[in-house]
Amino acid sequence: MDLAQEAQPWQRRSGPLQRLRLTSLKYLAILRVSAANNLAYLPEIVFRTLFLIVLIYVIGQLWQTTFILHNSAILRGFTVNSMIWYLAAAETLATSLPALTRRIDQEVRSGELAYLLGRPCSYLFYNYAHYLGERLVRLTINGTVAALVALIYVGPPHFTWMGLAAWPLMVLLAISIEFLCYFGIGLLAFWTENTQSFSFIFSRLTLVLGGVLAPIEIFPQPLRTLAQILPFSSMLYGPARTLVQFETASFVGLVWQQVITLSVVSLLILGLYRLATRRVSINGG
Amino acid sequence: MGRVRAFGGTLRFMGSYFVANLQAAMEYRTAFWAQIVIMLANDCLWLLFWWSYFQQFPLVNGWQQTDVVILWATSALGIGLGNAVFGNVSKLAALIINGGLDAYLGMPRYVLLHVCISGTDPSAWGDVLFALGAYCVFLRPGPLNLFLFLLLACMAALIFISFLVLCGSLAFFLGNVEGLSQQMLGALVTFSTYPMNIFNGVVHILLFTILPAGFISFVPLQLLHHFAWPLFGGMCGFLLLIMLGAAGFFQLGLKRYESGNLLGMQN
Amino acid sequence: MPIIEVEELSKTFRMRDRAAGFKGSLSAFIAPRYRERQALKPTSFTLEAGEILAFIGPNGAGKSTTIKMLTGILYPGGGRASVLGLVPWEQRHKLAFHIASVYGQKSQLWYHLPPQDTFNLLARIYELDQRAYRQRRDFLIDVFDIAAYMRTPARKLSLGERMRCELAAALLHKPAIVFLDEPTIGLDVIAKQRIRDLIGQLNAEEGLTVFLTSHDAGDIEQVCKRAIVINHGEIVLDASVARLKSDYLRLKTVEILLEDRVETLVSAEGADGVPHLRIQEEIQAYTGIKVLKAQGHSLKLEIDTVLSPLEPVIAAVMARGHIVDMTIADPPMEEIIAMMYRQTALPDEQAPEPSLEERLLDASL
Repeated sequence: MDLAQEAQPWQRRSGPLQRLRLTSLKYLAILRVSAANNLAYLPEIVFRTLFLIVLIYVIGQLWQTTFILHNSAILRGFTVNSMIWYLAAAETLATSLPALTRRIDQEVRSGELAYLLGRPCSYLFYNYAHYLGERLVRLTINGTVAALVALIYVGPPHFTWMGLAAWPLMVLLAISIEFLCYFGIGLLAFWTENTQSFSFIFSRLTLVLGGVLAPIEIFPQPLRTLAQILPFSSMLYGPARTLVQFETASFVGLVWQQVITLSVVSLLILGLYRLATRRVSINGG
Repeated sequence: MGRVRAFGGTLRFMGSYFVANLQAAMEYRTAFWAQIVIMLANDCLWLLFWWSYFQQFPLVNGWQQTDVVILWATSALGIGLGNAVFGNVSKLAALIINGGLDAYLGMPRYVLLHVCISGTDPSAWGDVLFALGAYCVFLRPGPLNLFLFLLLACMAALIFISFLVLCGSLAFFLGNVEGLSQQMLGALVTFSTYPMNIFNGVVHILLFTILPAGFISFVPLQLLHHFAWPLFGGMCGFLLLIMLGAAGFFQLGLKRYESGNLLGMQN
Repeated sequence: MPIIEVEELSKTFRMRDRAAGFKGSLSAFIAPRYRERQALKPTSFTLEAGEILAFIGPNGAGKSTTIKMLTGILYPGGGRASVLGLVPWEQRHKLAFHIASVYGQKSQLWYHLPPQDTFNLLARIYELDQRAYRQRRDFLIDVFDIAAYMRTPARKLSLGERMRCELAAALLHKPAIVFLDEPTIGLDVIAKQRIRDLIGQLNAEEGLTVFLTSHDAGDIEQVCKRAIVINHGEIVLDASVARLKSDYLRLKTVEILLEDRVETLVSAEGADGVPHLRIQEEIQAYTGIKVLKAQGHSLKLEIDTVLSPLEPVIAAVMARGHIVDMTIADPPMEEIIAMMYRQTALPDEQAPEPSLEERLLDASL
């Protein structure tokens, strides 16, 4: 008796289009539930925004003072207004990162991973949907608060239509790259105790070299080239800069950087994921 | 005589906990060293960034190149020492909410001290190493200056810990304040590492009262430049004030805890 | 036609010997030494559709290893298995649509959300037709009597309520087999009974095949018809629960707190040097009673229920004095296994003392 072949009346047997629909519904549902679950943590999200306000205020003050002391309206191509709005955009991204590595680490260590593999759901995509749900909630809330702060600080922004249109795409690429990186670091739990330390230093590198405190143009020379080459800028600087100061040439370059980074990281992490699942299959986790 | 002996006993008590914490952390040898190295690397990274930033855009008003190093070194050493010796303060709010204080209440030691020293954060040692290294390398201090640096850092550590005790003790009255105290901690650390000149008057006042970042890095910076007894006295005074305030606030909350009238306690 | 067929299935884990200290970890990195642990020796059994099987054994016996292989998570070292006609580790994704797992200690319900939301999510994950899903959901809500909790966030439910919701969630996609791991752990007596009844009901009404792992003798006695006992990676017993009960669960421990002192019931020493129940001596038909402890007002007896049914003994004690408190307990599972081991023909091989790593591995398995 091959029960699996029997078409269960409540599960439509499907052609490829139907499969696609069913699969996307599956992961959309996970995303929705994750977002709803995250909204239940609302007090914590609100407190996070307090920190965001502090950050934007402090660094904004630093910049304002710098502008005043240099008696110029433009520094390396940025006005005070675009600088503060850049800060707001970058900090929104930076502070909306969920504790992905810790969750994966826990799931690996507690053996829950094996349990989750028992469901007809790819562990990787399940986590991607889960992460997106969380991240989008945080981005929305942090973005709103950051925008308000920037508005009060320097008035309305001077975004271009192209910048506004390109921004969501770049944000999506950026957070997908970050997902893969932190997911991969979490998977390292199979082999090391130190996933938290690795994710910490990775996030710091992203903040400094990715330009959360200042656009990369501001960096002095050896640092600037370094930051431009490294992939960290695709995670923070890229989207923020595109929004605030859209230039077609640099936009194309930045998107390319993101796409290439995403492809390379995907290959790496998929390989790691294969290794990890093999390890579960052979060693139980 | 008894007082002195009691004080000695307390120091020995703290010492043995310190050693025990270190030993427990060293059980996971690689993790221990990894955390230290990574925190060290992190601090160097930030310093590198700010060093190059201030090279390009020096803030006038007597701002020297090495000032950013002093700022970072004093806050890193103060906060690092605080977290290394009194590392368990960060768990205070959670202990209060989950009834974890009961274990400490049953022991013949001053509760607040006991809670604070019964845990450590290995990465704090990375901060300490960074601070000492950066200060010695960039400033080449003489013995007197070095002594002052260490003394001020110890005072800053105590101010930092007292602040955390105040935040954590809010849990006695407001229930789950873990998120809030995390943010306050972040804010304190953030404000400590930026030069005060960039802030306006109102914020200045805040930074010397509610969020004492001014006393953790700015005042030590001034004192290390030109030592002045009145300023030093001011710092000592604030230290005393905040320590007594923190201890007192904790005691107040503890009375409430012992009477079983805690807000938001389950079963 | 069996729903599960296992033939000479075995699994050996290879673990890196991790040494302490820096030099140790360095040498382990350069020239690693491996240690092998045979978690499952070549094992065979079959399970028919509609059976309720108890899979019993102490920790580290190989239970979780077997279940992981049957659910397709773990590759075997050797042998074959087929679940619902599929090879689990080769067709895991396909198999996942037809099986369910419930772990007593890990929750499938989202913590902050009401079970309703988790159910809807599962409907999507298992690609259920919406109308059929709704009917099925309402049916399960009715059977498990959880209508009142559907809108309460999971974190606010008691353990018993949560367990019922978990079970309902697991059965939404109408799996043919459900693997239950310690479903009644931590529950109070009434809640346990409820879960057991529900499992029995679903088995009777829907032909649900149940693969139950439990340390609770009550679960086994009341719910399961067949039991497989596994220890040190091999099957020690494969028999009906009735036989298990008659052969091994017959011993009950009875602790009685008397109003009078025990000397009223127990003689100081019997013929064999141990205390004897006076009534035992009076009622010759009652053998199989051993006095484990007699002190003050407290009396502890071990009664072989095949030789000596409980009721008459207790009635006799009650007739002679007032009972303040009484506890009747089954011997712990480890003892039953040990007894089984002693009584079966297999030699009692001593496995080497497990290292910390192995114990952690077992805990996560």
